[in-house]
Amino acid sequence: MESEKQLIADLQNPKTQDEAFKKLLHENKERLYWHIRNIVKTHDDTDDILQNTFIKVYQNIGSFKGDSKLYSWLYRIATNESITYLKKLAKQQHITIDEVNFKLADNLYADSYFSGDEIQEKLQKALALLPQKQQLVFNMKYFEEMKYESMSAVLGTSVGALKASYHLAVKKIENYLTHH
Amino acid sequence: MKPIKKHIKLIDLNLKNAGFTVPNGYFEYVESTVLSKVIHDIPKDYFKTLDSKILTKLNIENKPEVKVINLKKLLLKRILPFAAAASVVLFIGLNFINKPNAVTFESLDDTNIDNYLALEPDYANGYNLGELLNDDDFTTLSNNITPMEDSKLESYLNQTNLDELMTNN
Repeated sequence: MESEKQLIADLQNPKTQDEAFKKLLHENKERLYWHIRNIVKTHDDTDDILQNTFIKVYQNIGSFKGDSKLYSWLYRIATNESITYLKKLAKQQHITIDEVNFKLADNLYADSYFSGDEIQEKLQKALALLPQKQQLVFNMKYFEEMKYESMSAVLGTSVGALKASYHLAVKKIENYLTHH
Repeated sequence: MKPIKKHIKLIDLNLKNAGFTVPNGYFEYVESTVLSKVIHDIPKDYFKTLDSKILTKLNIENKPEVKVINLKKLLLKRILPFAAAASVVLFIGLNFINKPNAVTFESLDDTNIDNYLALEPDYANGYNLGELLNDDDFTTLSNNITPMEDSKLESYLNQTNLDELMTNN
């Protein structure tokens, strides 16, 4: 906790900002990458969004008040950037965001950076059929192994609602996998 | 009787990841890319001193003063009288001097036209050429084309790469 306070202070101090940012980037790049990748599916898009996320963090660290934890702020920016990207895709293609999600999952077999087997591919298709927030909850819990308390801080949803959401997501996915 | 499908449980699948992979060395790459985008190792006050450094290098302060010519005066006193005289000479030349070897479309031979079309890709392209022709021209052209016999057409198609024909037309 003390080290996080110090890191925030260093990030907001022009003299120590660059070194502190290097540390922040080094420690968080991988988990934020996987968080974004689970939402937008393709490596190239994830790369763009991850870079934009860190650039926004660097540009806006001065306005971070420390009301929430630093990691939840990073995750919020990454999540917002990813959802904004999906909405942009939907607008460009004149389709809904749900259709974009399904299209992305449907094209995974052609992605050179997807090495999943048949069941993993089916799981992505099942996920794409869930409402956006349920997808987020499932990814954060199942693949990113996040605690409900941490997810609550990122998504601004109560722990109880997150548990219910995850339970529903698992049920729908299992039903899809059983019948497809 | 239809066999009952076994209900799949996620916990039994024991999937540790979604099946996504990343290029080798990606995380090192992204770290250096982000850093190069946000942190620029430029000395402080660099931009404040940049102007004077460039001016010094160009040695602008020491250059002799360039004489400025008044464009209006130059036009009225020197250029305008010559332009008027040249216009009169050109008018007489164009209207009263006989042009015995004037080029007309009829005087051009096929080789000249072929060369022109070969050197002017805009007109050699069938679509652009089509813009220059009207409906009467097209009727005349289609009347002049001798219909191809079926056997010749078949022979042509057999000898020609159909994919190429379809993509090029």
